[in-house]
Amino acid sequence: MLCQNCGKNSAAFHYKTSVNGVAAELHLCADCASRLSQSVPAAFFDAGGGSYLSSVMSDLIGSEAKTAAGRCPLCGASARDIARTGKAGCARCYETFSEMLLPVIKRIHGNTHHNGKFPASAGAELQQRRRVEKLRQELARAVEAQDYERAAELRDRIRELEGGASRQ
Amino acid sequence: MSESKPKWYESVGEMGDIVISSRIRLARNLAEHPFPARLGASAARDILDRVADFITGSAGGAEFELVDLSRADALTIGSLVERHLISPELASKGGSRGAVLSRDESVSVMINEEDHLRIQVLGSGLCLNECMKKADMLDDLLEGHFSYAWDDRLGYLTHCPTNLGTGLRASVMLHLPAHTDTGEIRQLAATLGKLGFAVRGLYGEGSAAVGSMFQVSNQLTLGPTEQETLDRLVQVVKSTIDRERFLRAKMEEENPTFLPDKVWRAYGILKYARKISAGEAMELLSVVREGVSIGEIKGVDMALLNRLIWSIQPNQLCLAAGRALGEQERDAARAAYIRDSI
Repeated sequence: MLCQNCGKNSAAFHYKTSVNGVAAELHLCADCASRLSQSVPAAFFDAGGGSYLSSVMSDLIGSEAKTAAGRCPLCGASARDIARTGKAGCARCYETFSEMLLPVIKRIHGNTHHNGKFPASAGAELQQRRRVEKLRQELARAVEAQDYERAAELRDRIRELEGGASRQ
Repeated sequence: MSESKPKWYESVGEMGDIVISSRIRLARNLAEHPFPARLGASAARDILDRVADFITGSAGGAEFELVDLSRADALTIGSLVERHLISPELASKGGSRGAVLSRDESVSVMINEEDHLRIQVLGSGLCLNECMKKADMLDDLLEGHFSYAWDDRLGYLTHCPTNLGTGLRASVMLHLPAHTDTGEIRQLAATLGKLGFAVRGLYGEGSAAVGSMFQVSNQLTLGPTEQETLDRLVQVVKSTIDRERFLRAKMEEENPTFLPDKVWRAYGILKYARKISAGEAMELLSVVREGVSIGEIKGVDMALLNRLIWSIQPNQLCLAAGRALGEQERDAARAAYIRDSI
């Protein structure tokens, strides 16, 4: 996770509070934490001071929220609701408000693609895509190494897999 | 809950002189239901019942038991937080919520915390891969029955965007007295932070470090695979352990009487005090642990020290006494309990 103040370094210090039932989190890198330590954590932990930084997360989302309209069809959350809590109302929110949330997700994780475990139900298609991705990486390496015989082989296998996918 | 079954923390695991415990947590949600924060009361009750019934009714289900927190008393709830079986958030929020616990207390499935499901596995010493295996099996079992909230691109969908992807939080609780004594703990937190790991106190986010015990955990969940996350964490933990050993050896070399004096003083207080607060006891047990770890104190079992970390907490003492104790009574009960133990 990146520091929510500078957005450059990884966060090393974590603050969490709950004010009137609204949870707020603050994640800072060592530099920002020490620079802000005079004012931030005290204000952050002080129940009355929760408004000072009612979660930088929600600020992050908030800056994107101005443009997003409507409500999530499944849980009824609005862009404003998500910005206020810094959290999604349901799985569908990620689809409904993807334009607002994806840049935030990218800033938090430095990535927007999951590469780990997946449910068996999501299986066949995803597995296929993962296989193709892996072959593409191998292809790039083969080209770089000027191993054109191997590259041609890989290219054919990718075509085969992709052709198989489009026929299904 | 059965008291006879040995608990996971009554043993000493790999690198047990420095690694107290390992923990895996997977965040999962059920498809087509709002996350708990926006979930209606009857739907929350329904999810709690369905998940609990499914786990306790499955093949290994006899090992599990539901604690329905909407019906549990404050002492029980407090003691579950103290033993890390449920989060303070789950304890303090209202509504239908609970935890399905294994009898050895190594597995806890929190239901209706900020996500519908939080699968948690705890183990003694450095055992992330073993814990992951257990969590994975339980995850597969649940996934075979319930349809998970999932996105091909973002992975497992979670209430908080910081858990998207694997939903995995892997943590290792380390005992780092030499890092504390030398002040290196700050550098460690900064360095690990740059590598994408967080350093927190014993009771998680925002909590102060008690007894030089620190949790190191991964921060990123979207991008790296589960195994990559675990491998990197094991790597930083191992180098932290090496550094801790180095610092201890250096302290011994520079000031040979410092550590022996410190650890025996701590032992003396624990052995003879007539009342002691949880905070002071934790600090002193930490020092005795260091004494056992460096071979200075013999005859005190490391497994006993592991157990004491949990059993001297306020709610545990009240449960053991069978009633709510006032602070003074607790401090006296705690001192007596420790005196008899070590």
